[in-house]
Amino acid sequence: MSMDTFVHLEVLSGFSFLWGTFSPEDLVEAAVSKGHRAVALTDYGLHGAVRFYKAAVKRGIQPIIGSKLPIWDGSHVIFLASDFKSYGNLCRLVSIVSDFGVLSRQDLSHYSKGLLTIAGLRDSRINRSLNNGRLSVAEFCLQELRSVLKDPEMVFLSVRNNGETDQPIENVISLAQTNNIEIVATNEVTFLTSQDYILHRILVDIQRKHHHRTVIPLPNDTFFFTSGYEMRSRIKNDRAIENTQYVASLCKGFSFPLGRLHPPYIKDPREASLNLSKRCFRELAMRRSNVGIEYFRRLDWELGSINGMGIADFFLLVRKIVDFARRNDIRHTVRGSAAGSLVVYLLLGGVDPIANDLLFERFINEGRGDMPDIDIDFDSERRDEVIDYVLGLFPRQTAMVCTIHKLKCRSAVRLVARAMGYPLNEINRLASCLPWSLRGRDLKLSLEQLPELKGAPIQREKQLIDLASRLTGLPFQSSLHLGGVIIAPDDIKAWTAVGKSPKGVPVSQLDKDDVEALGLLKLDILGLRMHTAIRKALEILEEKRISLDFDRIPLDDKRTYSLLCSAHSVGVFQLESPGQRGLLGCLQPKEFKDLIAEVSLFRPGPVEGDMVKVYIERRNGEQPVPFWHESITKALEETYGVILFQEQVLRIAHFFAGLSYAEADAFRRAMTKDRKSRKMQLLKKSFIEGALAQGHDNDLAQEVFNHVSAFASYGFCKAHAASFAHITYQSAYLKAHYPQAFYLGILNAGQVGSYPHSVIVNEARRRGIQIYPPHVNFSGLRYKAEGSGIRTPLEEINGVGTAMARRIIANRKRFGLFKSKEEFLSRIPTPKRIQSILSIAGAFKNIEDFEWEMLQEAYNA
Amino acid sequence: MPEESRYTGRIDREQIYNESISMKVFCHAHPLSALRPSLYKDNIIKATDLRRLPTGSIVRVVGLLIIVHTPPTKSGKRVMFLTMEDETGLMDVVVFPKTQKGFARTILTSQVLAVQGKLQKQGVGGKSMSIIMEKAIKNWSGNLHDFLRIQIESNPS
Repeated sequence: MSMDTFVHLEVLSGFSFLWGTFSPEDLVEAAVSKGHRAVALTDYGLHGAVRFYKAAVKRGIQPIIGSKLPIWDGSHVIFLASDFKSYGNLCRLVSIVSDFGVLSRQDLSHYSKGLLTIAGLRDSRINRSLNNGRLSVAEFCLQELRSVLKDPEMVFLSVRNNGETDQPIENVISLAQTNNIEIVATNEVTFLTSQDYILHRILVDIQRKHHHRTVIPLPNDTFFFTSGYEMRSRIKNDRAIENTQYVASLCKGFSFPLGRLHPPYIKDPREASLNLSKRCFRELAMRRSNVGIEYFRRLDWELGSINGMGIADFFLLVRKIVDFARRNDIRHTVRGSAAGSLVVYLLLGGVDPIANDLLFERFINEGRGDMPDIDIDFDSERRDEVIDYVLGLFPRQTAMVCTIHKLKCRSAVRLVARAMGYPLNEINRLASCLPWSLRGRDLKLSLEQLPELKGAPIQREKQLIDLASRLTGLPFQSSLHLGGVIIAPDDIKAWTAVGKSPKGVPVSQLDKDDVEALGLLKLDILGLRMHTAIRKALEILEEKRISLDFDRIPLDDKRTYSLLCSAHSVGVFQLESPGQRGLLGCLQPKEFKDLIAEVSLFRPGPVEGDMVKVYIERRNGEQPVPFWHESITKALEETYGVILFQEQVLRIAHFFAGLSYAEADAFRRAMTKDRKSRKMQLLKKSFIEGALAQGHDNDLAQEVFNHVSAFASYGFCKAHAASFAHITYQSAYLKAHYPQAFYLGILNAGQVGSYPHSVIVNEARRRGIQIYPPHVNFSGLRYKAEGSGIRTPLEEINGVGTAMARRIIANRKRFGLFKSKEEFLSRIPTPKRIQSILSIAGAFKNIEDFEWEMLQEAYNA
Repeated sequence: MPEESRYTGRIDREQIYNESISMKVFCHAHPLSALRPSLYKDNIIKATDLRRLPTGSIVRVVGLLIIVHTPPTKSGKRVMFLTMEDETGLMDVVVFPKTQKGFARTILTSQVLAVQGKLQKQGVGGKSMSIIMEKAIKNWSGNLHDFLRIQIESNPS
């Protein structure tokens, strides 16, 4: 296809949220198919910028990054980045709009350096004035804009032709000539083809009806991704067309620095290395009275690798965060491959990597070009404290990662139906037959294939189905990623636009993939509700004066394993799903390493590869363990010849094929991600050659390779499994020894695991724990211990929300117990519906029969 | 671990009904304990009864439908894993695509689900149990409130 010199410079994708109808990737494909050399993305923000850039570069198209932003007079103006430095200014302007809604004159005078500006857009005062024939006003607006910009010579005036609503082109040309500026042809691309206009209208209607915004859709279907030929026929001015190419050439200096790490700046790497070493050796001496030589060797070697990569400071930073958590009694554990490091164990705690035979090379090896991840789970309810601390450590350099929510089938059906004007009860009727399990699946395919949808009312709504399925997958809104914190090397706004969450937390416009692509440091400060549940259970035990050194409980408690062998594991971390309960029944865990295997076995890979059955049969002696080679037998000894852990793949590749750990890890990753790649072929070659060099014969080398490659992608990180297994054991220990505290912990930590409160309550009752109904005199805001039983909170009554429950409890605390229903109603005005539901639930039961003085005394005590 | 309901005395059906309409949890007893006498008449057994039966037995059970899990499979075929709960414990039910054809809508729209299927036991002492669903017993599948109300009306205390 011949190349087109026209470049679209005003393009609004799905990342303009409920406006544009396509993804940045689709935009790039459209540009390729029409033979364009460059294309801009100018959303009302920068959420789509990195993925657009990557897609464009991959397809050989020049990406132009910009944004369409409102200024003081209500006009929208496009700003395009000419280089990475000016991209920083663009980020700052977008951040200001995100915080304050519009840009002031001062904002533009501060942050417009290096930006190209396109004025006179459809929704601008210049355009409105030109339409009304008020050329002087238009000129005034243009001059005012230019007067505040750092680069007034880089202003262009937009010229369009979208039908009758637009200004006569001659007026624009005249204005441009008078002010000695250039014109550019634009088309405000909002949909890729004119047939998608209806999608745009539906999106706008969703904004109106769902978000109650006053938004006007585009007036007609001409705002699509036009070819250069069509633009030339619409705008009979060659200069306006050619200038689009000129603008693109001015933006050629822009590129994202992808493929490189950008860690925070370290003042003195040598000092950081020394500091890290000192801390680790001190911790080692403090933790163990007899330190084996293997610990010294391993520590020395790990420190060498970490210092060699120049990332000691990163470890010290994580330690600083964990120190904060420790000082404030916030429960936390390390998860992921980091748990396999002795340095991490000494600095941050967790399971002993040497005692549990965990491999450091799965975490860090010289072949990995990315920053190592140290993921830490904190008590969910207290995670915000940790995040606030990190944000406070580097106030100008940090922001939270954002998450993009996309329209899913069920929500798309509901929103589109609402936009189309269906009544609410009809929407409920249509959507109610769509199972939740439909999420993420293609709507049309589901309607064809799922038997429960045969003859469902929605089948008759062809247009609704068509529109909803076309919109499924489009970005719906952005929000805060719950745990990802970015730490930029310098000002965070040089890298991304930053807004504020409703709670005032800075949120970037980069999602986790964008952060990774830009090589920025991301700390995952994750929340784990099981930590909250354990903390709350321990608080109950403390109230009962039961002292327990919980983090040092022995890992061989018979009662705990007996509970697990019975498969009554509801509420136990990681082991409560139907599959895990079934597996517990078969596996009958007897020691901690069995729990590591249990956590790793019930994963999609092992289940689909039928490894679970093989593992159990070999473990129970019903099937022999095959012998391949001594080195393989050794690597797979603990799992009866089954490849269960990623670390085992590394060991086989290292000891059998003689690959370095870096090569072995690359081999594992290639098999997990892209098994058809050329890289994979090269790795196979090096595996076989390595095995031959080790003295193995070709048949054995091929056989081992085939075996390893068949199962490698199924493997689970052992360090992660061991870390999780420890929490599993702790939760099972609590359940086995202190069931009341355990159930209270689970019930008071929000939604822990997969089961609703009703299942936990029913199980507690089956275990002989009395469950008391909610009562206006005895219930609190949370489940609470009452003798050896559990008192249900008021909030478990339908319709009694937190506010109502708080009012009841505050009143009771201030004025004493309620002596009758009448007294309750006189003290707390309650709607009739709530009165009735409180009575039905038994919240006033026997209220008049108590010995009041005694009871009040007991209550006060 | 004790599995049977500690409420061995008379079940207050009205109280259970009241809890079912006013609360998110059941404090007095599991709601199915109120239906049990009628369920026995239909040869519907309890979760704990499954322990005594050999693998391969055809069983009829009823439970509150707690979770319907449909994990993705390589083949693209949907297998449903149901977790049901009666007054004695949890039961795991597997529904293959063939069975889903006739009963998927019943499964996905019922609060209470009664199924007939083949008992499958694995592991030491058959501790790992699941039921391969063959059909839904439609008389006992549907809305919990309706079942409780019918029980109260047909057996007034």
